[in-house]
Amino acid sequence: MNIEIYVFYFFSVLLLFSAANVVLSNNAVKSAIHLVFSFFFSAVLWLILNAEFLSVILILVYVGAVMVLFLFVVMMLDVNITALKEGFVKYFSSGLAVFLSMAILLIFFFQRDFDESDKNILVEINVISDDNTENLGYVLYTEYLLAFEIAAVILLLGIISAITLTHRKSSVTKYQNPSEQIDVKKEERIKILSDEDLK
Amino acid sequence: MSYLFYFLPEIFILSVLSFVIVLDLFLKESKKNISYYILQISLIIVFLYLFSLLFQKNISNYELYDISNFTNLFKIFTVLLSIIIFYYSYSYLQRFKIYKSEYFIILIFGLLGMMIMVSANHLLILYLGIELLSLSLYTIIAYNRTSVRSSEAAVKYYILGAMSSGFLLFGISLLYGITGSLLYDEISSVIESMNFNNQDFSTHSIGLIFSLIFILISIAFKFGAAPFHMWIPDVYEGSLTPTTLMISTLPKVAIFVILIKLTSSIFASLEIYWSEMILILAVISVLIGNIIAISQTNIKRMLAYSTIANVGFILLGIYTGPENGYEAALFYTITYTLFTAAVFGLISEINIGDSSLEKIDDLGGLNQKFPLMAVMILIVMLSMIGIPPMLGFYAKFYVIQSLVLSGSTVLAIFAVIMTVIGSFYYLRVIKVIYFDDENTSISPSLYHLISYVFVLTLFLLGIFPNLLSTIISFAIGNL
Repeated sequence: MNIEIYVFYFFSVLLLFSAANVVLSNNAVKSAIHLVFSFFFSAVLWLILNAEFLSVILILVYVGAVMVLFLFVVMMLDVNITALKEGFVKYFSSGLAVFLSMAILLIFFFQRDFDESDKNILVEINVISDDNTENLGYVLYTEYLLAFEIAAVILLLGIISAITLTHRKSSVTKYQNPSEQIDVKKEERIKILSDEDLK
Repeated sequence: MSYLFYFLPEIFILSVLSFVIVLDLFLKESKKNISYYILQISLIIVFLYLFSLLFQKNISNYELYDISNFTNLFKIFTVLLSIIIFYYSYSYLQRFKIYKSEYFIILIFGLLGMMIMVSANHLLILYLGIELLSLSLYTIIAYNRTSVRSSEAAVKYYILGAMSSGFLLFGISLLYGITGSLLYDEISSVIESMNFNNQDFSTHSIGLIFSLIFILISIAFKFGAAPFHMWIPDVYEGSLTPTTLMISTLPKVAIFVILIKLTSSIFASLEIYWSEMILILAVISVLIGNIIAISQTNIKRMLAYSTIANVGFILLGIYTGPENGYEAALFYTITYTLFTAAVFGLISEINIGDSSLEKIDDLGGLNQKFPLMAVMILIVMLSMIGIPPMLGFYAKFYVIQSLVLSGSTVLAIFAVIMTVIGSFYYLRVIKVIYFDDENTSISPSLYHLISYVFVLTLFLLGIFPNLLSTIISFAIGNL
């Protein structure tokens, strides 16, 4: 039981450190790598909570797919990090005010001793077995089937939106039309200028 | 299996949608409008089906999804207004030769999202419905890709919208942590059993207030209440006029329905907290909306600020509480939506040269050339001010009456003063139309029977306001 606490604190500190580095780092690639680390550490925290499915998904989806895409984008775009940080001093005070008020409220909320009636703060979902993945799969296709289907509709909309916004005949695109190329007349290829035209 | 019956309208719409998505690929460029007609017909079928449901006793024992007469009436209204919006959008897109079937497909997705979020009795399904609606709105705003304004508005709305969705999720997760459920009924009974009073500062009450604030901020953002209104003017100005017509009407009603559903179920026992928050939102909205609208020269931007002011009025109605406030607020929302639909529909039909109407001054002397169009805009504008024989008068009257009845006379006076200030910018449109020099490049497409029928119906509704208020008290009674 005790070792869990130590593991929690160890990875929490690492998580906070890497999350801070995401924001503070001057190099976009470094920020992205630190984001990978923070995903990894929060996956460990989920593992402590017996939510092994979520932690595996976090690593597979975010680290494996999203962050790789992110790194590609960072490599392809030449992000000027100094320009991004220009407003830092200007917005620091308002950011600090928001941060402090949130922090105080959260501390106020979590500092209290949770008594017996607060038990439902952690809801256990041991529906059919102790296995978290099995339980999730079970409720996903029974109790939350409707939500699951709606999520599928959202994905369908996402695909259609992306195609609508990007795939269109643009006037900038240059392409060849063979029949027009063959039909061309000599007058269209060469225009003979007289002396008057040159003046 | 029998549960599927409750989703019949949604399943039907989604099936037709899937069919049209595939069919559209095989249509020739010149025949793409077949998709539009199929979608329009499917909407009419759904409308008739929902209408027939109204006369049956539907007692749903399915706890996730609410098909009571209240939501059913909302769906009927939404589908009916969608048909009108589709008609205006189609005529606009054809006129400017930017028709794509995807425009209507995405709009239908948004309609589906609204039907889901209003029927939801479960916070997760509510969230998914809101996301479905928002995603379709982001896309539809960015539809006009050649315009920088449109892209800017879409990105702005997307970033702010994503943040407000995050707020909503945070509030929902706190609520789940405290009550251990996501169902409206269960949450409200758990909260009721906690017995709150004003001096209670236990973990539960702080957590609940926390989640209430987050959920309310998210809803206020989607509603466009000040101080969360920043996206509205840019989005209204940046998107195509039929898109603005869509954004300014249907989502507002949907969000309003969510707001009264949440405040009358989950947060019913927290009324002491949310009524004050809503009051602040309402007063700021009415103030900012009416005063900033005065200095606008772009008609869409002006109507954007008038939207904020109207949202403030709706919130004033909600503030006065469930007894008579909700009815007044619903009456106001429906009236506002109908007249906004009419005004944006009329705007979308007016061409200035080769482009659509943007500036108020471009309407100059509309009366000399097209008196019928001028009369229609006159009726709509007078109603938005709240001049007596029009429907807008009764809407404002009911809200102010409920304010007086609940004892907040100061607020009622404030509302009246703000209405007077607000009448300035509506009257200016009338003045430009009737008294300014003629703008020669103005050319409305006047052959749309639907505009005449629509505005005439609204005018008649104003003469017989009891018709609407009977339906509305029936709806609220079935909440």
